[in-house]
Amino acid sequence: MNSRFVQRFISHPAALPALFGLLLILLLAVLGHALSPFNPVLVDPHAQLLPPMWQAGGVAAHPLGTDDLGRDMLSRLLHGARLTMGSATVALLLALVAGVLLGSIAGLAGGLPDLLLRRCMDVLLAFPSILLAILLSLAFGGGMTACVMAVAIALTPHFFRVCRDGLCEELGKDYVSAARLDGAGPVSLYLQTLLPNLAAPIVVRGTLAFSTAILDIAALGYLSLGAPAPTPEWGNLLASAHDFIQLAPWTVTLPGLAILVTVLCANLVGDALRDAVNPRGANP
Amino acid sequence: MTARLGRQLLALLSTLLGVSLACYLLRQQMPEQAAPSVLGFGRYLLDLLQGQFGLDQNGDAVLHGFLAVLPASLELLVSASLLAVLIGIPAGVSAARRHQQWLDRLVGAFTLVGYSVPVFWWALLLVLWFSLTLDWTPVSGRISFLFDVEARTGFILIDTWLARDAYALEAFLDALRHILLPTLVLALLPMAMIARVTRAAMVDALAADYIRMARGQGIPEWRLVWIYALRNASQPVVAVLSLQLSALITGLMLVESIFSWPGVGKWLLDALSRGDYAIVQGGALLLAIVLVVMNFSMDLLRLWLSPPERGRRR
Amino acid sequence: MSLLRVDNLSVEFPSLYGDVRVVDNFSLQMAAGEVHGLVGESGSGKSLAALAILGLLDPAASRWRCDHLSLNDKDLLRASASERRRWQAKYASVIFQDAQASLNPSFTVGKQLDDIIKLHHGGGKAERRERAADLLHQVGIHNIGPALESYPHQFSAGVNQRAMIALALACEPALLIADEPTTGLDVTIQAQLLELLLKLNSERGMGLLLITHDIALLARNVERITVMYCGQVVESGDADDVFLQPFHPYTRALLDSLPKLNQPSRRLQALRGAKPSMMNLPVGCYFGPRCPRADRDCVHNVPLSEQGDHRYRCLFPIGLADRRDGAGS
Repeated sequence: MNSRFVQRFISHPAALPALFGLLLILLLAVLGHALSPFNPVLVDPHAQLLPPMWQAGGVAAHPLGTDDLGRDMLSRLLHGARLTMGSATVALLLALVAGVLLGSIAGLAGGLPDLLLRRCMDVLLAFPSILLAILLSLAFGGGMTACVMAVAIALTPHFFRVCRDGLCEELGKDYVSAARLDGAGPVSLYLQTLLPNLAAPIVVRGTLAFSTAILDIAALGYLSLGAPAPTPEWGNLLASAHDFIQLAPWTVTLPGLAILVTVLCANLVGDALRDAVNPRGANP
Repeated sequence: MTARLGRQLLALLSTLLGVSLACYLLRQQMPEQAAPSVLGFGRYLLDLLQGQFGLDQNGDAVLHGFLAVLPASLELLVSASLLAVLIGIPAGVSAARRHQQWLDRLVGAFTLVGYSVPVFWWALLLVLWFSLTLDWTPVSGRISFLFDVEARTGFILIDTWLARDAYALEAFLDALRHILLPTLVLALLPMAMIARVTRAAMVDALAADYIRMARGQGIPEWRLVWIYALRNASQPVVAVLSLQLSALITGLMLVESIFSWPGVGKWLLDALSRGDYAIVQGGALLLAIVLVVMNFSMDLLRLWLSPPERGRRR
Repeated sequence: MSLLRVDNLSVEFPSLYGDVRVVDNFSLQMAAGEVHGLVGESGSGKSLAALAILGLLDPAASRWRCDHLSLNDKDLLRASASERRRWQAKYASVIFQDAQASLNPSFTVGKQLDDIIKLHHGGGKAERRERAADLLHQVGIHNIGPALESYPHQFSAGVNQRAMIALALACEPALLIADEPTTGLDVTIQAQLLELLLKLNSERGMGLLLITHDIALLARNVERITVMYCGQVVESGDADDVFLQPFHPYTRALLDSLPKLNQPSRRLQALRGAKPSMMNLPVGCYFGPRCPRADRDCVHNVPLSEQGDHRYRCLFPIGLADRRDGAGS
């Protein structure tokens, strides 16, 4: 993390706003319980389908309006942030650990293990996250666990590839030979010489994968393959608003906007990180 | 070249084997199934080789059901890919030619949003505007139930075109209006991806010495851009796209579910909600196989596009 | 007859810190069939000057202006853009240092040759193939049939270099600009390549502009020489004159850094200091801070002076009867 890297990151016009936006959203997700004015599943028959407060008929008590059962949209969105981003983070970390571990084994061992692991990843690439979620929900029962597992498995090949290809490339370089000649053992070579050089591309891939994870979790929630119905997960919110799209467009627009802004920030940060790590790279 | 092709085929076969093994293992996790065994997998594999992917609740072969809904999915996939390529590649190329100028930034902003929009939300918004507010396009389905189209190829646009009756043209136009929104929704992500990767690859290709040299020798500019540089830029584009195929299929299943498009995704999701697990298992395996084959053809395409890759040992 | 004439060419790159003038009033003249050496350190603007002459600078990233530019007696500044490009494509070619990067990796060598031959000569398929084979033969590639069907990655670096030269010769240029053609090659291949270029020069009467940072390469090979420093021409003239009696201290320093066979015991002289940044050039003579002969007067702008055909940009040229030497003797 040297100063030139930070400088390059900051010179990206949208990097800092996006980073602050992402941090703000994360903060809201963490503090969501304390901040939300209502219980997100509290049904209020007297406040059904209230529009947001800036539209005619909106009330200040429900600044973002209510849904068909009179549940407060703001509270549901805040709780949803925690659910969606929390499960996306878990899926991301699982994929990261699995991908980097397997990628390191493949890259360092080479030969047959490399071949077998690459084939395994090809197999995983054949299962889109929705398909995985369907299959996992059949085998292990549905719900959040299957959904997070499906997203994690679908993301693993990306980390695997970054790690394995990066290792193969680095292993051929002179500084690795120099470290070897200095008597570095395989473990210290990996931990002290190779991994620091792989960290940057892995972090970049991780930021971009985070946005994929959010989109996937929300998509699975929308197809009711994820969190069960009353939970205010962002995809669930959209699914339950589906029928009121004309009557109460804000119940559709607001959760979607929440997802869009979050993913946009994550992608912007990821882009800026990538440009900072690799100033002239074509690798998207 | 032949050796390279052989290796590729071997990889295809082993991936297919792995996919069926994964499906077998998942199947054996179901409550009423026996514990997985080598013998059991052998029998499962033998069934697959004979085209037996199981029977659904009505006793019909899952394979038949799959083949019946596949054309609808392929039709949507092809039309979306065509749109994505036809817009994405020129957008990426023009952005690269005007590197760091306003068009470049516009394309960059567009691709960023295209990457970040949740597909199902985008679909709902389009439905809200075009179907419900403006009433331009139908909300769901492939064709209005008023038309009775004889299924010859399974591709509705081709079938209505081939139909000889008095309403053939109207039926075709109706089918076209039906496919419009799903195509727009599904094409967004691949379009953004293609534009972005094409732009990055073209910026590199256009700065190459061989372009400068050819320019100095009077090769016309359009040829430099659209043939000399694009040919080289197409290889990374195909490589990135093949990694994103599964994201495309995810999008396809979402779009089918939203627009009630009678394709593989809707068929699978309906079976899941009906509790017809034979369809889900057999259909998921079949879809995975289709994906593996698509991936394989992308690899072949990349090999064909890149002479240096052909000779290299992976 | 003049093959190439460039008067006062300047190239500027806009940057965050203002415009950077990377080529400053560059002038060059070449007669038909002449072998001309253009020498300077990396970053002295020699390659950019060549690219600007050929109209190959990226117009979005740079600006250039020029008082006069003619190729084969045609005034290119008065020609329309497409006319200029056609004329240049016909009479001038360029080869770069990295042959692998100068050949399109996606097409066979035969196809790349054919594209250019088709553009400049036309003719039937068999005729064009004949011409392509002849070109490969001229640059010393044997096995012509397979070579035409091969992709650049299938060749070694040396063969790629020759294939690139064949490509450059395909339009039968009157002028070949070779930008660091031998840098990064093995010494034996360097010698072969230079021999090939000189052979093409003598056989076809093709003018050759050799751009290099290696002044040793030019000795005994070029007829005239131009030395650049920080974007400016500091000395130019007949190669024998410049090599035997350089006027400019920089040229002197370049020559002094070469080992000489007839003075085995002499220590090689390294130039003190480093080349200044193009964004922060010294006032007056750019070489001043590194020059052993610098004086208070050197902070003024130094014009190009002439001594017959020999030009130099120095107030106190070596060996000329100037104030300094006069006072010393």
